[in-house]
Amino acid sequence: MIFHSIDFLIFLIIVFMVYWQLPNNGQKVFLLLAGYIFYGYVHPWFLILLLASTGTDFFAGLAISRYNHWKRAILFVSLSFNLGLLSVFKYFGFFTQNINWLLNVFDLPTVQYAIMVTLPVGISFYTFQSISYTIDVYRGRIVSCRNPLHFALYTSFFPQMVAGPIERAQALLTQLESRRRFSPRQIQDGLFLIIWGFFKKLVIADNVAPIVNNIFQLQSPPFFVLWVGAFAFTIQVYADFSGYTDIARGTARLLGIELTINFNHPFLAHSPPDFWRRWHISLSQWIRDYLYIPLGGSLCSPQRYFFNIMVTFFLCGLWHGASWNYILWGLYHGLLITGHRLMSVLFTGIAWPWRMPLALKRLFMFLFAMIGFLIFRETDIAHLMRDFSLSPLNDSFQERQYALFLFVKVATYGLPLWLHPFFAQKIVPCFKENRRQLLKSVIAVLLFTTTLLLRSHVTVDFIYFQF
Amino acid sequence: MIPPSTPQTMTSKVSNHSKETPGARKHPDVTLLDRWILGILVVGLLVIPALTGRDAIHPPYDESRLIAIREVSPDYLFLGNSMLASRIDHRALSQRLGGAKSVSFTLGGVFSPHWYLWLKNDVIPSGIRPRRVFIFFREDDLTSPYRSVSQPDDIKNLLRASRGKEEELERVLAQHRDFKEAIEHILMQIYPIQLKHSDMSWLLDSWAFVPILPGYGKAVLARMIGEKETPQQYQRFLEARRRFKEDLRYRLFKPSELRPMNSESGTRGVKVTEEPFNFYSRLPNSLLPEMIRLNRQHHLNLVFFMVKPRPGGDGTIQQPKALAAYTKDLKQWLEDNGAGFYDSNPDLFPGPDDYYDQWHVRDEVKEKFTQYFIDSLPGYFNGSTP
Repeated sequence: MIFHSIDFLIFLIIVFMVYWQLPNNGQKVFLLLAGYIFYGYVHPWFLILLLASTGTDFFAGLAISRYNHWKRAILFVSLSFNLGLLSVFKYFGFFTQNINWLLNVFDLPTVQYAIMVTLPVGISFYTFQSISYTIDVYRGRIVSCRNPLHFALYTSFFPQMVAGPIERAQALLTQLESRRRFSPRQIQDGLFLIIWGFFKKLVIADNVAPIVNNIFQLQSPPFFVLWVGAFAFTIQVYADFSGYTDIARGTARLLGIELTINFNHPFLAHSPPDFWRRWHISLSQWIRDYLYIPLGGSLCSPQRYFFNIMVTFFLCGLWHGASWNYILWGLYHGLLITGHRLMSVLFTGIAWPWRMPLALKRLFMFLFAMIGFLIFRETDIAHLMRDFSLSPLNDSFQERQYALFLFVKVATYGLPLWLHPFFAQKIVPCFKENRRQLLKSVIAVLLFTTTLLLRSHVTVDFIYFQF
Repeated sequence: MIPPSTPQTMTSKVSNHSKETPGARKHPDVTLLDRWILGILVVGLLVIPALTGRDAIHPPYDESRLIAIREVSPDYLFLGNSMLASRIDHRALSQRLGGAKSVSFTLGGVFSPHWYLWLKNDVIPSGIRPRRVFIFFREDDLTSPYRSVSQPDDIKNLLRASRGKEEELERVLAQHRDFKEAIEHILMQIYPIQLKHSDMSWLLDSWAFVPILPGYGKAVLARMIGEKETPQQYQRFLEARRRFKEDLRYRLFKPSELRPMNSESGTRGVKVTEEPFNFYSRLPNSLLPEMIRLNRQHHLNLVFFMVKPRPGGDGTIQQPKALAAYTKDLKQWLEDNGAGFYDSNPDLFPGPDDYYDQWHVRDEVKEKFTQYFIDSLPGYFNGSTP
């Protein structure tokens, strides 16, 4: 079920109305049912995988707590199962294609396969969420959950199950178990988040999407038009994904649950590490805690640090999709992080460039991020190579005019994304609590009206659904 | 002792959450003011957008088609959507037919509801009777009236082509709305501000033209503050704007500059299965009987031209059996009821290279298509076909 549909609107109204009439345990059962209806709405058979992953990790958690001597083996089984699911449903075709390419290079017989696998929506998210639980139990950070209802609800909490945020058991499971109280303020905040999320998705992302699609469909776009396309895609992917997250968080809040903040104004980032503290926070912290730190983190030799960062970001890129451009995107960010670290070391004791104005640092980081998103969007490697070989000198005056027109159009749609931190950090805090709530109500009504007026009526799926 | 089921953190190191776990945080006391503010928000969300833009439900009737018919007094009139717009070259038509005049009314993505209203509210009231009125359509467009009337821009165009309440149109459309579409229809009535979507998009586009067309920004602002007379310069800006957008579409995003589309791009509109896909069962819930009634009553000389999709490499179309049967019944019924019909699916032209996607013919082929069109229907141009 997609958020921007009449089906979800009706679903949410029913869930909300019924949920708050039920006692605590009734709410949990009802939420679980709602989660399965939500997930299995279009493809019911995907539920089998979800249930299998849930069952495996629930029992793995119990077994790890009970059989301490076997905990490593049990963890291995759990990880193998979840990563196996991902490998089959997400990476099978990719691995086979690349193996065949390698076999072709050495003139060896290739692997023939006839199965076509559909990628179940959200598999990357709920498997990672499940894995984090098992690992935390293994490490002793949390005690295993003994109530199957609670655990099933943890893996199938519908607002966040298909595209995050990836929630840790400490945060979400605790809330799901506790009693929730109806709070008008929480409902108001939830509605505000939902409306802001829909505005970002339907007005910004979906109106920019056709421009992005048209530009990236060109065989050989002019230089400036291409980079307007990269800029537009950066706006689109942020508005789309953060819009989804806000709808998810707002929906959860309507049900008395607090989800992780997944984006913290990433366009204000002043360095690569700062960018990853602001972008897809739940994923970046997941890979930090379960990949990067176990590899050794930064407390090692420079060569090992480089290796750790590159492996982490290689896998981060691979998580996004079974395609070389995602891997390249991950490696590119790995290079940015290590490059930043190297510069910190080289320029220790020297003021420049660390004295660069913050605005300029932010601008540079935005440009670096934009280059990354060009790699992210361009799935054809040959086209990507050609994109980077383009020269601005070859563009005609007319082509620059086209680029300017498209840039202004995209920037106009994207303007609220830059205004938002200004309002959130400078304007709204100036008001006292009750007036702040009233102000947010007024803004919510304005956003809702603007969404009705400006929403794109071409249905575009959320980008991160494909991951 | 096995601890209770509540998971407990054994360390205080929690990722990016605040130090206190949300579940453990005390909820603030619910105050009357909180309830009031929530109430104001909910009422505001329901009421304020509903009060805004209510004039959009009754837009003024668009006279441009009526005026065009009266001014041109065409010998041949064409109605359609992009199927038509990509196929007929009026200059070539006129040259070939000894200077005959012709006019096309097209809007991208529209189908029988619009064509019905154009016939009823523009062609008939004009008093002008062209020798032929051609309607270009594909597959089952004529009996699928609900396709493409749910978007605000299409609804707005329908409203602007309407003269008051169009009961027959509403009756037919209501037959086709499922539960979700019925809710969307109700929401459109409650929040008609959505119908102003194209106006707002136009305004946003205007902003993007400001750095391209010097002086344009000032002209737009002048319009917005309500200048009654439209200065000539503003008209020149509109023309320059239209040309820029056409250039953008046909030069920068020229179809030949695009990466090759796969064969499924722009796929056929109809979902055809081998289960009953019956013309006669669809006919009563379509606007076709009304269009034929108008044809008979007002001697419109309607001819329906069925366009074909991009053929395979050998130039042929593999029509599903059900669609072929449907087409046969459609042809029979139209001819029995005094209208013309031509099915271009069996023809070898246009060939696969003449298309830039599954349905639209390339600009360079328009002139040739126009010649082919005239040659395919000689009786309708030389008067030998009644």
